[in-house]
Amino acid sequence: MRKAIINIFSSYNNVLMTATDLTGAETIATCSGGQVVKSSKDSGGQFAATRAAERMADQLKEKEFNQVIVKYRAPGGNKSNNTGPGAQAAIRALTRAGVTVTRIEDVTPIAHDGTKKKGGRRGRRV
Amino acid sequence: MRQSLPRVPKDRIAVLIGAKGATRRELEKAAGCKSIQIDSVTGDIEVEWSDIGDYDPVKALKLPDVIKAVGRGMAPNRAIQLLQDDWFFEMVDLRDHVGKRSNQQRRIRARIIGSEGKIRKMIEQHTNTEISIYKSTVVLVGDGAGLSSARQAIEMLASGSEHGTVIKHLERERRKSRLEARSIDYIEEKEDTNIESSEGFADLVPGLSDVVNRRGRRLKASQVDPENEEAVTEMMELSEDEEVSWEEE
Repeated sequence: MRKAIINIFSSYNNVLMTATDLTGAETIATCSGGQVVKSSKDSGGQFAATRAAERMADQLKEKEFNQVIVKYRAPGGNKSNNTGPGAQAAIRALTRAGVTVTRIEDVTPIAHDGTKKKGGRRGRRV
Repeated sequence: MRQSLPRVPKDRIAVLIGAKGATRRELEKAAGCKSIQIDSVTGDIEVEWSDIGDYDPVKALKLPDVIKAVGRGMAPNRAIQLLQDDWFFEMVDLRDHVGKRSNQQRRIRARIIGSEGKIRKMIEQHTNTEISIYKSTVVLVGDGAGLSSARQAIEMLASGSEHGTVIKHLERERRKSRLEARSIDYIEEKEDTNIESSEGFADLVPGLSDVVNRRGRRLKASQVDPENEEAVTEMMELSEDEEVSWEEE
């Protein structure tokens, strides 16, 4: 029974996943939404997250890890604090692939009043 | 596993607990956790999940959002829908748009709600979401596509667009989503380079690989080696029932 930490960064545009050992210093496996789909508009979606998580599960199984701690985060800071749709799909896919999730933690960086948000005084102009 | 969650505002503690703990018990049942402990004075919340493998990690991911939604003014029976798959939670902070002056926040709240809740109801119906407005935050709960257009609408209202513009925008979005629902949606996948893929189609259909092999052999037998002149002339000679003619059509 070996344990790993899976760090999931989920924004509206992409899902990044990194599995590390318990110290967090050694990377075991990585995958992202952009690696599994062709068009970049899909790479933050649920489908891409599911596929990326399946690949992660394969890589973890190869290295004999079967328990994980999930740490998920949104962009945070002065950007959006809401996680994208990918995080949920990724965790669902991980459990389906036979990885046991022992703990789930939200590690979104929350500013206690930080720097100014980008976009300027007149906001984002489309 | 124990999980401590962000605090709930004091005036929402009672709603979260319910009459003699009815709402709390309902939440426990829906999420499948062992117990939710709510400190009725401070509003601290701690959730205890049963042993590893007995609970659904996706529910553990979503329960904090449900409690946050209740704390931000949503009725528990509406917030509980969030535990379904494909439902997401989103929070828009009005302070990002108008600053921290309470008069300004009140003005924006009033714009989003509309007279007798007209605008809010309209957004909810167009996008199939649940919206709750509380102090400086707007909480949205809904399924993927509708949620993003609802958030856009609320951000437009908060940053000063007129009601007519927002409603027109919502109607356009709805028409677009209806069109998309009719056409088949597909996502192109990159070829797998890391993991060796299986034979693919031949594995799925029993006996297909045999047929493919036989066909390949027959094809090979009928080919002629261009270097071997005897074989080439033999192939070029016409048999009795064949002829070559050049005619204009």
